[in-house]
Amino acid sequence: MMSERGDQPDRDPRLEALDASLRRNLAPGAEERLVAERVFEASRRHLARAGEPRPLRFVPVDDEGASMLPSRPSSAWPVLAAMAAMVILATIITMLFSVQSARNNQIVADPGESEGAEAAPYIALDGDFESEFSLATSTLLSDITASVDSLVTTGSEWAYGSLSSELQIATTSLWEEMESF
Amino acid sequence: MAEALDTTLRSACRGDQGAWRRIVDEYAPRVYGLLKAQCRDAELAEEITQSVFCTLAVKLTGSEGYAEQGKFEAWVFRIAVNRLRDEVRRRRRQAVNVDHSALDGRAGHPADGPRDETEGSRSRALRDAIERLSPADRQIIEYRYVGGLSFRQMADLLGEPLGTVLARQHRALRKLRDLLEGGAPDGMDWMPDEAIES
Repeated sequence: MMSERGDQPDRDPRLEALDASLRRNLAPGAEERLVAERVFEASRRHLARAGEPRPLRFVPVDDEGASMLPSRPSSAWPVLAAMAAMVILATIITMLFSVQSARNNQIVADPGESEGAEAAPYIALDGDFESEFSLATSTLLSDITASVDSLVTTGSEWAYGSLSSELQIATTSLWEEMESF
Repeated sequence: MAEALDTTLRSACRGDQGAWRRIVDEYAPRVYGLLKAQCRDAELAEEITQSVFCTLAVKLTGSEGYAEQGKFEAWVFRIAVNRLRDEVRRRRRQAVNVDHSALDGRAGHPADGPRDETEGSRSRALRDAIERLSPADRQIIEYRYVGGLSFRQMADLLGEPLGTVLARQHRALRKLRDLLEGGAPDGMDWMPDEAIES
């Protein structure tokens, strides 16, 4: 019969004695402790890896291919955008220098093949363009540096907007300078 | 105890080997004992116990971490029981052969120290009687006394109401007592499950 509380059967001395006997006889013994020792040795290696760097994980995607990982904190995107802009700008500048250098080399290597009026702009460009280009580039880099400093210091979207507009203005003026030659 | 377990688990999550040893020492013998009693195969029981604790170690120290909410013990046994069931199904092994050595590792084992003849005899009689119980009754006895689970944990593991588990355990004990006293099981339908659950 259940007790009035309904949570356990009524007491029975013989059953209580049996309960105690079972606890005593079925409790883990020497064999179980020996196995536990082997289990510890086998499993501790997995625990020891806790402090090791995590391997790269595949990004789980849903059926439409979108990442199921939580999105990055919004405060990180201006910095990433600024870094991307810097890389793009550096690529543009390197490309411009390469083009100009190639033209100069061509003029210097075979000036006799230049045909009068067509050669003149290149020769004139050699000096004027380099000085204008250097000025524009240094101004641009100075503006970018100031904007990045501001971005890092304040971390504000305003600083990112400032950097973005500086880049656009500087790049446009750079192209205008080039086109004027 | 719950606070101590929580502290130990937190330490283990940080890779503390001492804390991990305390967890293994506390739970591995019980997990192994229960698995071995259920599958009657010491090698398989040890293999599964090792895999369970390797899984636990990985989970505890994984990137998701682990937050104890009073369910750790039930979680450990659930992994173990599920893994044994899957393995037994996979191997198509029938755990029906009576293997009296299955319980030899209990406290009555000679390795635990000398015991007098009377106690040894009682222990053997107890094990024999357990083997004569029905699988359902034996299961409840093993969960309770070999696994050391609480009734609440047993109810969770078996997916049965707490009252049913209490009644099953009481009924199994009475059958066991009758077997030990030399009488045949009297078909103790003295308390239908419906009456307990209501």
